[in-house]
Amino acid sequence: MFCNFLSLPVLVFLPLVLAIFIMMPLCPKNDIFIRRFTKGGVIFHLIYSLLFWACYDKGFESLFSPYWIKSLGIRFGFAMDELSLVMTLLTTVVFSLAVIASKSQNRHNLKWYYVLILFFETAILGIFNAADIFSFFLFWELELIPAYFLIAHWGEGNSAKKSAIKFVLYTFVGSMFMLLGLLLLHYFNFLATGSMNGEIAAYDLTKVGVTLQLLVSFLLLIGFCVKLPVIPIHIWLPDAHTDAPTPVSMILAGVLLKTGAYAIIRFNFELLPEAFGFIAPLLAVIALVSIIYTAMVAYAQTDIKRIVAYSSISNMGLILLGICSLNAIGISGAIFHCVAHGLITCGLFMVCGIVYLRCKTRDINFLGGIAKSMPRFFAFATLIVLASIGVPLFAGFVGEVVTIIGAMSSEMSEIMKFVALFALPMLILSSCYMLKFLHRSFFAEEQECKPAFDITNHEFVVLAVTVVLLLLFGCYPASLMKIFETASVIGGSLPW
Amino acid sequence: MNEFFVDNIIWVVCYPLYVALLIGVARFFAVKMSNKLISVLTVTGSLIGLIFSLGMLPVAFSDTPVVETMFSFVKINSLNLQVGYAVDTLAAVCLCLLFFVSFIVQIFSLFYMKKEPKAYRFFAYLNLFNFGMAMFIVSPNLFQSYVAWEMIGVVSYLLIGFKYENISKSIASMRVFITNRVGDVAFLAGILSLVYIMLNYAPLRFVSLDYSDMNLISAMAYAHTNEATFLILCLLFCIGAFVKSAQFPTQKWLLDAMEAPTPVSALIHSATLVTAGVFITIRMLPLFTLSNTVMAIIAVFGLFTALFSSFCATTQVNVKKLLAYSTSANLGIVFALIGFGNVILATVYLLFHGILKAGLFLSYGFSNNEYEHRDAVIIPPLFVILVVVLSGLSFSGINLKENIFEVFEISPLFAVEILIVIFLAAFYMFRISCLYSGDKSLNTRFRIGVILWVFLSAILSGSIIKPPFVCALLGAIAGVVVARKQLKSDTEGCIRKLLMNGFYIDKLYSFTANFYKKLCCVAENIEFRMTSCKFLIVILKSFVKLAAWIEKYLFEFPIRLLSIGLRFASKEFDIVQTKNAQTYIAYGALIVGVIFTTILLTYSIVLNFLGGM
Repeated sequence: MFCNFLSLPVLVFLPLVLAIFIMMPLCPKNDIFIRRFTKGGVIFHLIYSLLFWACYDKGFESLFSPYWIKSLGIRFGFAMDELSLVMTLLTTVVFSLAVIASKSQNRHNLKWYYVLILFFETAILGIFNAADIFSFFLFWELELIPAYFLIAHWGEGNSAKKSAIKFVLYTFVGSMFMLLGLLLLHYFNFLATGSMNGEIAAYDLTKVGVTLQLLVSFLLLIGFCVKLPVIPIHIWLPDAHTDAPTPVSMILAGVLLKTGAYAIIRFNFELLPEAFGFIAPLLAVIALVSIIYTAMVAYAQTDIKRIVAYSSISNMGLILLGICSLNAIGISGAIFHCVAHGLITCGLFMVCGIVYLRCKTRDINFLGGIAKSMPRFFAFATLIVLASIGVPLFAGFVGEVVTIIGAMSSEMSEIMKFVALFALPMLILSSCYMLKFLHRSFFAEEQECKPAFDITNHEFVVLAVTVVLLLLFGCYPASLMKIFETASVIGGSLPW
Repeated sequence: MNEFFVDNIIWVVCYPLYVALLIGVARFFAVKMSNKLISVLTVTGSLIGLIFSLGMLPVAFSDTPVVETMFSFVKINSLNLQVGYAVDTLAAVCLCLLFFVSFIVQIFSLFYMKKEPKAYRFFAYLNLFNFGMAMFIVSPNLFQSYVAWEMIGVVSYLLIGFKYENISKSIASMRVFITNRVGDVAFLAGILSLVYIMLNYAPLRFVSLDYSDMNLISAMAYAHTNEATFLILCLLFCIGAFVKSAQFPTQKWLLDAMEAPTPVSALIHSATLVTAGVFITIRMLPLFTLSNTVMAIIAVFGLFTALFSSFCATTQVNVKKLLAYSTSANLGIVFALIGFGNVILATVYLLFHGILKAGLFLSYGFSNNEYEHRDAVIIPPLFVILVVVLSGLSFSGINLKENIFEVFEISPLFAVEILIVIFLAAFYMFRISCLYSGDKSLNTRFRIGVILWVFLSAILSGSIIKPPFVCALLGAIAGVVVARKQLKSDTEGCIRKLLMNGFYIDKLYSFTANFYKKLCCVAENIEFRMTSCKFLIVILKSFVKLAAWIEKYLFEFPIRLLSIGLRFASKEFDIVQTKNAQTYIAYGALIVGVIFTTILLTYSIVLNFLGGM
């Protein structure tokens, strides 16, 4: 019954409407009101997005799709399929958690902080649900604005402004290539089919030569890989994640990186499968280097937030490896790991944030013995760390194992088999740096930092939701896989 | 009636999980559960488990294995990883061992943990371990085994680091976890290779990891790989099993694991968790038996570990570490037996050793409670009795060692080796017993009783002149003599130091760890350089400089020229400024005249021009 009331533009623009309401002069200027209003709004939005899951049948398409530039066939429309649905759910969950986590941060300029967060949510939902490549590109660029201000203005470190600039510059340069790729895609499609239509689903480049496909695929990949990120274009990530305030770090690592993975599946894999087949083995090797190298760098870090940031790159490498396998198992594993890793980093950054809030330092050399003074916090931290090193019964394990099975069973090329086998030591390396993180900050005797009280209620909610979701998806992965097991991405006809 | 036990075994397996969750959640919401309630819940789980597994035995020995599938864990296209349970003879026997040992250990823990404020956490972990281990034993396929295998590893890690304030325990737990992780990854790589083979070669891409299909899977793996690849595939599983069962060269983790509270050492690091490697080897036998090389590797590695660990144990002064070495050595014998194809004897010896070793730990822990801080180590009488049985000087021990000797008799080399192992086992066990049994704990009457019992049982079982018994007896006597001598004067020899440090095998670990750390530092160095973007910044800056140069000398040049000209003109014309009124008036008149004349001239020219038209 309520299924008739679901509308994609509402889903995407609801946070923006909330943001505009907060900005309006008649909205109370009271900080507490704004905080509670945002929290309520975001949670309502989460429920609204869950309704999409409940009502999901064969995809949604928005009735509202006016022409933007009619002569070029560019529309402004939204569509949702299984992949978008999973990513949308992840986005709404992570944003709810981030808004709840915002309680203990950011005393200044609260109103604009929440406005930007809501704006951010609209931008990211726009990326995941765009039906047209140009609206996709619009949202892809729009997300930079809130991200820049959130990092630069509310950042924790001294170098926050510098990191924000770095982030924007890197992403922007990537986007330039991506825009060129999108334009070429549009043009080649016009040449091949003779009609101007910007709809993602309507592209058909099978008649275009492989060389041209390769060119487009390569240009797009540059843009997506900056977001993903893979080495050597990951340099913006550790700085941005470290200097951002805790909730923003949660959003960046939890959702923003996944836009890269989403875009690779959507464009490179779905639209240009033939060309991607050529690039995939090479990309898999880069992903492998990325996994191992960043895992080693993570071990040498002393700032706990940087350890988590590098572990993100390592895990994103694994997701890229899953996509490169080009088969149903690998792609499902990659999508599953997107969700699992989104939740895990959310929890890990929350842990880092709580530690920083209590101890005013993130250097493991000055931390220690938190377990003694914060036993409840310690329990959660242990669970989340175990989840992040791929212990069974947590979602991270399923993601990693299914992804690697997919990569191993790839019929693409012989390289994939070895890449997958060599990616397995990631499990050892990740346990090295994550256990270092846990032991140095929580175990042993107390150092200078002596937290006065255990976790507060809102921190409890964030950590508990993360752990419960991780356990749910880890013990019964079918609950999540059910959503996308019929997806065209997975069951679709592949050239191999 | 018997079917009832088999059908409902899964509830018994899951019961400890519920208890663990209950304790955890209750504690989290600050609901006080009394220690009594917790211990009753915990012990009930083991007791019911014991009853069920004993009840299952007749069915398990007679019928074909019962396999039940519950739900699909992961299902994508042809990949279908299922969760369920299976009961066969091996599983039933191992369940008996698990629940029996954990029942004793849990009862013992009630006393042991009396003064520990965090006892609830300890019991929650024990329950979690029971669940994981039982799940491992009844798992019907390789994937579920792996899940449970990892889980027991994690619980063991948590239990070793139970007193996390203690830095040495915390470090030991981390070392144990990471060493085990290496084995886990090898095991996982083996499973994934099997999946790969099936996805590529099986008819209809039929993927199954069930133990009931193991013959089929093995045949397929053998058919579609060449010899070297097949060997690597088997070795991946073997590495996993060897690491878990503390075989050479990874027995160091078992020593680190001795940092755990004694009940944990009794339950996990002697009777149950370490047997997981043996268990999985028996399960994977259809695969291993296809290649003689693999079986030979298992046998040789097992025997070598037995010898190596026995030698290391001979000079230990720490009782728990000695017992750890002894566990490793005995598991080595079990592996060797499997390598020789005698699975039944291996299983029996596994049970025998598991129960006795747990008993040894418990009897040691009973009089040496870590929480009461005693200085002197005390060896209780029960310990000595168990030592006598385990060394093969009395009932069951004698017969078992004889049977083992018969298996190895086919080759003189192996026979001598196993005799040395038996000799050393008796030697180090008696040595440590004598070293710490003061006159108070073991009186003369007890000693004479033990000696009489040994000879009586030897005569009754008729093996008084058989080589294993003779070796064990000689070992025991040698152990007593050496211990007496050591008590009088203690000397440090270099061989003793070498043995004491386990042939410095941990140097290998620290070397690897340091190497990895150095590698990480190098990576960090590269990363730092990349992050600071020096290279990019230099390029960008040079671009900016070039642009500035162009701006300065190319586009600004005309304007600059103009400004230079103006400046020059203003300098040259400043002589006109005389500060004299008449001059200015004269200038003014001049200028006005010039302008006037110009206008007139222009006007006339324009008029002429127009007129000319």
